[in-house]
Amino acid sequence: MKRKQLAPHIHADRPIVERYAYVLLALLPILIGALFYYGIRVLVLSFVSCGVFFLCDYLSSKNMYPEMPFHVDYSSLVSGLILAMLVPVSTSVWAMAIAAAFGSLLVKQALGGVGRNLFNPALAARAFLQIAFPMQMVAQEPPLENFWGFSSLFTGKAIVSNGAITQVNVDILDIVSGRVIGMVGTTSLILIALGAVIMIERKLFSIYAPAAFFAVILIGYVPFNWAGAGFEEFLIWMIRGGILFVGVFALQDCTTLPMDKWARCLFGGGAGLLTLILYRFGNASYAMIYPVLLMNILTPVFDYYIRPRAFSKTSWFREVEK
Amino acid sequence: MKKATFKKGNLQNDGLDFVRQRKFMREALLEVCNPREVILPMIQHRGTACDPVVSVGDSVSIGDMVGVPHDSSGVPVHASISGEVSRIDVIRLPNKVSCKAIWIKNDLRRRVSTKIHQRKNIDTLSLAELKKLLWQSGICGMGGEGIPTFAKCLKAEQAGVDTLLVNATQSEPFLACDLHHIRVNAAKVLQGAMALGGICHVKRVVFCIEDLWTDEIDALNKAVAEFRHRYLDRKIEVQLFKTRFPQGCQQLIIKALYGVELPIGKDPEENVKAVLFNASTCYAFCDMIEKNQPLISRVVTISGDTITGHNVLVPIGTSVSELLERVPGAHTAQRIAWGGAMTGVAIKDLQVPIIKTTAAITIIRKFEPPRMNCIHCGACVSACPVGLSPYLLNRLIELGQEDVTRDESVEQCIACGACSYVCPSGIELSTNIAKAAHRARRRGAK
Amino acid sequence: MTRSFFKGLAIRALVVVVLSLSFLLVCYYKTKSDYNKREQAQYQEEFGSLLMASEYRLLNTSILKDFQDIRYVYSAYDESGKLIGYILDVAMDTSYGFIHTQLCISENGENLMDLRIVEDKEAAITLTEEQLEELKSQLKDARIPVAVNQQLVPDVPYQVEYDPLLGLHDGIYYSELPEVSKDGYLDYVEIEVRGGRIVRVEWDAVNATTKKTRSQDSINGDYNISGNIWAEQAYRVQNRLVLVQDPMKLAMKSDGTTEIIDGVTMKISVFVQLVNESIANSRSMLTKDMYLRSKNPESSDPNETDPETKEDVKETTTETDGNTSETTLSSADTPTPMPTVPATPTPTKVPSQIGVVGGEDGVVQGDTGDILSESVDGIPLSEIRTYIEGLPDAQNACSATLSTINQAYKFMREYLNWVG
Repeated sequence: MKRKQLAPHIHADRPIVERYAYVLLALLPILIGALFYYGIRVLVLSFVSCGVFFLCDYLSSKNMYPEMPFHVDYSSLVSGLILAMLVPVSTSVWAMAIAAAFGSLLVKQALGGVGRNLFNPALAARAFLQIAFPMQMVAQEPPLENFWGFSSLFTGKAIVSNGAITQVNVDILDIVSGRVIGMVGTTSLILIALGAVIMIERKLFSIYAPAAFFAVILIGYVPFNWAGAGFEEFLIWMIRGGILFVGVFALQDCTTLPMDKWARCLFGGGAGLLTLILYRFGNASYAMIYPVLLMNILTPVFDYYIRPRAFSKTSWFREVEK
Repeated sequence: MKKATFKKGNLQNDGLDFVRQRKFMREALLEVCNPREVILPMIQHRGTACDPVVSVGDSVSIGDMVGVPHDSSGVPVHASISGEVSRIDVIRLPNKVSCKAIWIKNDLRRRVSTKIHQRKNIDTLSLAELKKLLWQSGICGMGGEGIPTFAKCLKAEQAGVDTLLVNATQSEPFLACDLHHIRVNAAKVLQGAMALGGICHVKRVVFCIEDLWTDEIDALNKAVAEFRHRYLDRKIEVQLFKTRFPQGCQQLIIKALYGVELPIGKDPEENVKAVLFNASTCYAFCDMIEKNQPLISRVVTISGDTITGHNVLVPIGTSVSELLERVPGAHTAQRIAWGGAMTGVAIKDLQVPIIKTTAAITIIRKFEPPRMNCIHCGACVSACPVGLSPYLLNRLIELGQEDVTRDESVEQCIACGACSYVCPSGIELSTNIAKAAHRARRRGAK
Repeated sequence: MTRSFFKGLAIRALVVVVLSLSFLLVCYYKTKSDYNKREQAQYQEEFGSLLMASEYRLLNTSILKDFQDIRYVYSAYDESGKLIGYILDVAMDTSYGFIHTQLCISENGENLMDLRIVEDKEAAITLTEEQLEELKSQLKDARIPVAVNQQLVPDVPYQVEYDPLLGLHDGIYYSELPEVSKDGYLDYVEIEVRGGRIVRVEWDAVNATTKKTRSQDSINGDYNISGNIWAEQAYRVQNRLVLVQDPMKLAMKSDGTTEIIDGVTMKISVFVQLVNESIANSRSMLTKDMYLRSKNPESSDPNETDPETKEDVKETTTETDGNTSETTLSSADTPTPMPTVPATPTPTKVPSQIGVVGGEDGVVQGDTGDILSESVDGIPLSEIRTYIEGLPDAQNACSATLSTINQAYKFMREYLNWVG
């Protein structure tokens, strides 16, 4: 396709594909940690998730949106990998495949394909799993138990050694390294931080939404904590529930985030508030999935009302027509 | 001293290292180009066309006036080389201006017009004489605006401005011609600015320069220290700007200095009582004062995304093909832009002259923007220096709802190209929006 | 997507892999010993009141799959690494309700060392402090399985109150076959009468040579019949007799079997015969001691009396009811191998005249709805090692607790078999 030679004639060296490739790179430590703690089964789940996501995206986009200039990108892989990192290791392959197909076809492609989806596909697929396969979505298997465990790959039954204690008392090093029962990729503080560092190094990390998110959670922890749980328990709750992971990775999905930085702050703050509410009244899985999904609904609203103020306009709120 | 800057839009120069490119330009020598032929279009500015006063076969020498304007909104055109007028024809310039042009064949003898001589009474020139010189010099805004400087001065005088801003902040990433003047001939730039300031009756002269260019700032400071005692009635300042892009546009400089956002169609003369001249313009006027030499040549930056840029002193009217003969890599260029990399016009036919407003020729060899969907990343929104939402405007324009774009202040677009530059999907936002903005401004003016 | 991009990506990926692996490994080795220490400390906190040990190890056995009620089993070791006991967590839905207990069982799987009732559910059965103390004192170092005396009266309330036989005198009565049967066992029946009712029946047989009981052998797999193991079938029959009080109502058919007792397929003619004899003893107040003395004046122990008595055919009929070949196989394992088992039963003393009541073969009049053939927690009565008084004010809770103990016993039986 011959293009008109239009200005500008230079371009920032940062196409989407590279962007997604570096997000994948940022997810790599998480994947390694998941492999380390939960065994080779994580790799199978990731392959299934990414593969189904990619295939569904490719085929449906090619058929539904033939006018689109491209049909292959890494956003499918990113979504697939995030989804695979958000499930317990005992998830069955079938559930994984169904959820990935749901996320790709119904959440992403049905709403217009890449860049037009309202909801975060990975989180929506995870919410689907939570609703459709709630039994499989309970993280039960302790880390570092069986590396080659394939036995319930298709049934999705947790291989739980029925111990008297489900979780050995954790100390701070366990929290940091991630030796905590939880979703496969969400437990390790240090690896999530490494992922964030990679994104920051590649200038892919928009700090506003995560900063507001964690600020609201850390500040709101005090008034919301009327049960009197210790801060360490709260931290463990956040890690086990995957809130840390969501705060770092799901709040970077620019498609489902507002554009303006203040809108992103509001988005992150709202998500943090919902997380706290779910911390009090719901369970950790919900607190992981739903705040961001609910705030996603508001993204177009944020985009409509909160935007940079154009030159010689008086208000940075949109002037509503009478 | 506090550095002036504005809040909106800041391009990260990743991938293409703007700063490094421009530093190379600083080290490169200034070349002088002696073309075989020049093409002198009769409109090189924003205004009315001149009439050619020579005919085919005439012999002209450097500095001879070959085009004479009708009124004050035109500027005269001078022969930039000596030689024979070979052809007078209509030319279509890349900026979509069609006008008559004079082809002069170079006799390579460099015959200089008798008018050009070292002036003796520089310090004793009266205001009227300066004005006359300004009119004769044929200077128009050399940063790319192209407004006749004479007209601008008159307007400033009427508006009663008190500040003269000398713009040495480059508006494009690969541009360094103004910086070259500042570095090499800071005193001349200062003298030209002072002369212009005299015409406009200003109390204050401010040099605007980015903080990155320490050599240039030193040279400027030295010149200011040297000349301060000669202009005791005026304050001379050097105002540093934070290095960023886009910058150098009139709106943005006023915003950075005064915090005032210029409304559409309003000039800084009326709003903030300031008048803005390019450093190259000042330099050209100083030439006129000192040597009575009209605007017959200018410094053009030849740069590109893969080549190291350098500055060339080019007679006005030199064709691009001739200019690029000795530039390595030019013949394999993917595209050649007449102007800067961000706002220049890509040209296919290289027999296009360098005119007074052409600050750069950009050679693009690696331009492969991706072609993808908008992923709603917000890069364009954060890059836009005037606070538009380019993704939204582009979508509205695509959907044919251009009247809605006026609610989104599309007319504010300064066509800096920042949005297209940053777009990771390679969507041509800038062109679409700039066109719509142009249409909107025209409709608004009516 | 240039080469430099891929190069940068690859280098970064390498760095990331190295960094994250080193992070993980460093953290792993730094926490490893500490982690185990913390784990054991947590176990000590959890189990210390039951059994203090220096190391608790989770038992990972496939047998646990058959025991859904048992949540987990830990083996406890002291400092020298010697096995000192097992800790079982049993959460059962008994017929009295849900109960969750933690039991500590000695390393040989025989004695109950301690127990605790965990209250982790709303409707769970609990005991008060005193009750638990009382129960514990009763169960102190008890051999398992355990049953409450009243538990011998069937678990579930009667639907039909059966009248006791008339003329029974309280006491323990005993009867045995005159001779050792063909398979080498000497059958005996012991009944206990209290308040005119039969409250306990025990039917077993002693191997003439090994002196092991038949129930024990059947549990160990040395004595095989078709259907449930002998001990369980016998237990069910005993249990039913305690319920219905009258051996007539067991509805034995002319071939020596009965259809009204679930899970009982063997011939019960010997049992009926011996019970009748015992009842007759009771009526005549011929107590166990007197019976034995009258039978063997020289010795009081019935088990040692008849080593020379041979060839009781009736028990063999019970045998042949099962699989003959199985019997042969199993008898190869028995200490007294029987090369041949007579295939033809000789119905010399089959007391068919006793078993048949009413007009039709195998029919009992008047009692329906008494499907009460469950044993004490599925364990034959003969296997019960300890009887305790129970808690009069918390019968159900006590029974439920014992159920968990007995479940644990069953597991330990299986497990130690599997191990040994």
